[in-house]
Amino acid sequence: MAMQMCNRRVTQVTTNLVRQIAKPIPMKVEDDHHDDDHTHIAVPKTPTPRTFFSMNKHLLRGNAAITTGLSSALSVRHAHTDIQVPSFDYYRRKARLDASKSHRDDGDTTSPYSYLTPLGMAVTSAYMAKYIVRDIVSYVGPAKDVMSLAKVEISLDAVPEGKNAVFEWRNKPIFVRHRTAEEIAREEGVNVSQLRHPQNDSERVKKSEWLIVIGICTHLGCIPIANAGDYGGYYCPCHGSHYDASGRIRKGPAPLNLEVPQYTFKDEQTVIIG
Amino acid sequence: MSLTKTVYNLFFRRSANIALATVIGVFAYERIINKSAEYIYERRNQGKLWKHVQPQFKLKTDEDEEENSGS
Repeated sequence: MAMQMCNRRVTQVTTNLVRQIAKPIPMKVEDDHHDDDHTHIAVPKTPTPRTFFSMNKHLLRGNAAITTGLSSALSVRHAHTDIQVPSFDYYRRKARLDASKSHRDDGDTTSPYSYLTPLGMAVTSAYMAKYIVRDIVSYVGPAKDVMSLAKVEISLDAVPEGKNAVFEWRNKPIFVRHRTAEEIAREEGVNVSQLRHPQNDSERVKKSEWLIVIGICTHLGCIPIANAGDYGGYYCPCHGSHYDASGRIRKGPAPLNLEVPQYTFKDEQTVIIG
Repeated sequence: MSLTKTVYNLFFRRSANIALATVIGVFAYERIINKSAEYIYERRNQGKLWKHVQPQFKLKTDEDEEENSGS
């Protein structure tokens, strides 16, 4: 559209770059096919630039325009004033055609799309940021009702002495056993070093008359039966693991004692598990 | 024409105003998107959602049987 033909000053320049013409060196080569004396021409290899310095020598510097082709010779033009930058006025807005005017206060005559598009992008990204931040915050600090799903509060009045009650906590059965004094005495008198999983009774209970354990057999996950087995505690019917009244494994294939969950006594009659 | 001028001078002249417009725009945008998406979803699934089906499960007090929506 705004093409201009201009006079070009062209200099024919060949740099020290390419096309080193090597002188042919006559050479004799042992060849079975030719018995007569032929001169074999070998062209010595141009040194390939390997180092930074030698590659640097091949660079063109400065304003340069290179034209080459099948018909024209290789020409390198170092241009200063004879390169014409074409006029782009066809593509500019009418208000911006004058280069010397100040456009600082031109905002209200600008097309509204120039401002609405960035605003739309800003609103979309702020929307995404709001959701991401909200999800992170709710993950790091969950609401109280979500946290309360992880705990269960048990009233201990329901468990008479000598009996074992089962409660559900996080989809697992919890055995709450109200132990009699003789059971306590028996458990405390056990030789801990003989046990498969040596644990003192005192480190498994907070108050010795209340044994709270997770009722899942540590062998393969069946639920033991209370007040059964040879040791006055629990007996797992699946593979015959015997636990005592402190939930410790005594006989059978289970490797570990019954797990003791985290719990606190809110007052004398209620316990919060988890 | 003067509407765009007022909008520009009110919202787009200062970057602080642009930020304010963005924040207000987020709340408006969220509400619009949520409402319209719910509306479209319920339109497409008319008659299949529980809220459409539930009135048919009301107990009739004069009869002692529940009316079913039809198996």
